[in-house]
Amino acid sequence: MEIIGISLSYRTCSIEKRESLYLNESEKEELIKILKNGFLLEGIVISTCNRTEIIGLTINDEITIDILVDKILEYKPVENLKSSDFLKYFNCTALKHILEVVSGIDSLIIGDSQILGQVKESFLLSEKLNFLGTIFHRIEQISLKLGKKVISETILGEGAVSISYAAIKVIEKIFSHFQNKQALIIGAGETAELAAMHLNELNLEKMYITNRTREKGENLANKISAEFIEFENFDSILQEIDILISATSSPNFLIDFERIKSIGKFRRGKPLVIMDIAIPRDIDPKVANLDWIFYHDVDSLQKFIDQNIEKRKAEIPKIKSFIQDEMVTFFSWYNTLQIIPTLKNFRDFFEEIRSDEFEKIKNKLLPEEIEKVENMTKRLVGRILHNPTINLKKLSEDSSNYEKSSEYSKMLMELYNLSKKS
Amino acid sequence: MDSFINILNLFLLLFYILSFTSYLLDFKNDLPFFKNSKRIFLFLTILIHLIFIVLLTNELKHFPITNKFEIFSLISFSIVFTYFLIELLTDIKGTGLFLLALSLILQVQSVFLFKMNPNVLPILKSIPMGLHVSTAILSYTAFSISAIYAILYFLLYKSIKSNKFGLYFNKLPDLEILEKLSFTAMSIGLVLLSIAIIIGIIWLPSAFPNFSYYDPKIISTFIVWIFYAVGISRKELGYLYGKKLIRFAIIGLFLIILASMGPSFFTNSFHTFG
Repeated sequence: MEIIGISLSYRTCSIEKRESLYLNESEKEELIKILKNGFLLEGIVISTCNRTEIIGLTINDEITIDILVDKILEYKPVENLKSSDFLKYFNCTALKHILEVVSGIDSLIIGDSQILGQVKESFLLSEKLNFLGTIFHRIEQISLKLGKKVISETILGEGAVSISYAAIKVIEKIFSHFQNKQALIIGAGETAELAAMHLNELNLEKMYITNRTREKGENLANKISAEFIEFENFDSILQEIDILISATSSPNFLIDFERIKSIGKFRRGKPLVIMDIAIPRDIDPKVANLDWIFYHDVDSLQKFIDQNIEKRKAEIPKIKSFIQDEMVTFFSWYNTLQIIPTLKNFRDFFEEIRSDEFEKIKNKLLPEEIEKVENMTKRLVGRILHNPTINLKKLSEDSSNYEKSSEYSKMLMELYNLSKKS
Repeated sequence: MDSFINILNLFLLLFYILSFTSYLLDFKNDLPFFKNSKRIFLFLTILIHLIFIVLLTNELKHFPITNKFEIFSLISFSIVFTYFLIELLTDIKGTGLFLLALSLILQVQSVFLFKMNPNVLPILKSIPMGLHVSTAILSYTAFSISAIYAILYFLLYKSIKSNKFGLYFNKLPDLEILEKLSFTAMSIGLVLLSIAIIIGIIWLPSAFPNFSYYDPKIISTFIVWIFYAVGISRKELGYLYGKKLIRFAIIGLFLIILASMGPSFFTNSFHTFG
């Protein structure tokens, strides 16, 4: 029985292949049922937009990683997806991989906050389908503990790493009170919607949405309780607003320098934050030269994001040391599990001899001697077995002695013919 | 007692250095130890300084406002005390380093200019004089604090405008807060200066036979008062925002430096006490 794992992620293949192999809840359930039937004793199946993974404990030594790859491809065939597209893990590396995934350091965006929840759901699904045994229960515990530790003791999840969120973070460095602020969002596409959602969390006094396609604009406005204004009329509120976010696909500038400059005299120095997160840009970047304008485009926000990513990367060594600690603790326990059957057989073997021999002389003893002699034989066997038991346990608790302890274990089994007994 | 007060003043300087260093290390390096301990150091500094002022007043038998040593010490105390209140009440962090830097400079000067002189002019020992000078000093301190917040606003403003998301961006509070702090300090300064002027107008003519409304110090103080009164009114009326207000606070700092130093050039001022 070994822990094995396969992973298909952004590291080895394209988004198209990852999307094709994505497993929804019912597919995960079906796959787990297949894996339980002759392949894995316990394990988890994780599937997100960035990765699909199976990690489990094999039923016997004949189950290999390649068999696991074949099984998933058999279940969900994907054109051009080869065995080499999968990363493969065995024992130590398998556990290390789960821990790296759950901590967020293996994510496409380092420090991704969603992965902890996704891994947690995978463990819950395994539990529901009786696919969690002693070993994966333990792995679940240390994974979730590590995930929480990373959140509380590192800054891996801090700082904006998306353009729309970065825009909000910069806005928060300009304004502190949003209850008296008004914002206009131009556009209703994915980027505009994301920015609108983030902005909505700031509880602004008023939010306006404008879009060339009225229906899309109104839908977004309804979603965030904003006011929709006709695209032709948005110009009229420019002098009222404090925040302007533009994310359209317009090939030309929607607002030129002169228009922004003209509202300056009414604002008396009151700041206007412009986040032009459109490509190509919607607003003439020359407006950045005006004192009261805080203008940022995708390039400048990207600088902010890059800095945050660097800060997150700097946390990786710290997290790797957490992972190392968890692995040492886990394998001390796991290796002990491997020798427990050997020790049990070993002790049973001696107990059987003791018991046989005691039965042989029992009838020759005086009634008051029986208990004394029995206790003496038990003590004798106990003392004989004490050192080998303790030493083998100690050896197995140190994960670096894994091979040695399993060699000693096999030796005991062979020397005393314990395998035949069991 | 003189030597004890001198030693205490030196000891106080040590605490100022300690507080400043802990705020500096926290600002630059984010060291957890200083994040927690800097406020304790600052509190101890304020406590020792308060004890120092009480002992000094008791020893001199008058407000410690009669020479540069006493005045620098008082201003230094009022700056750290004001900042401590701001940090405690608003939980706005990241600006302490800059205010402590100013206090430290003043405290260093106070140590170098240490002079125990109980034999001052009787007029300087009077209570109205104490109130007049204390409120005037505190008002100028408030204007200086306003200017420091304005400078911090300017640093952050430059960082944001030039897309430099570094130390200032990460550590300073947002621009709106800095503008508010600068404006609040300025408003408090104006109120205190008004009190100093009112006490002066009521009491000075009877205390000084050579009192004159054309005294350079009185004229310069009125100019400062008018400057800030106009600025604050314009802000209240919605004419001054953001960088304009900040520019105003920084110009104000230069004006109060001129107003404080200018009259020294005029030897015939009744406001000069040597």
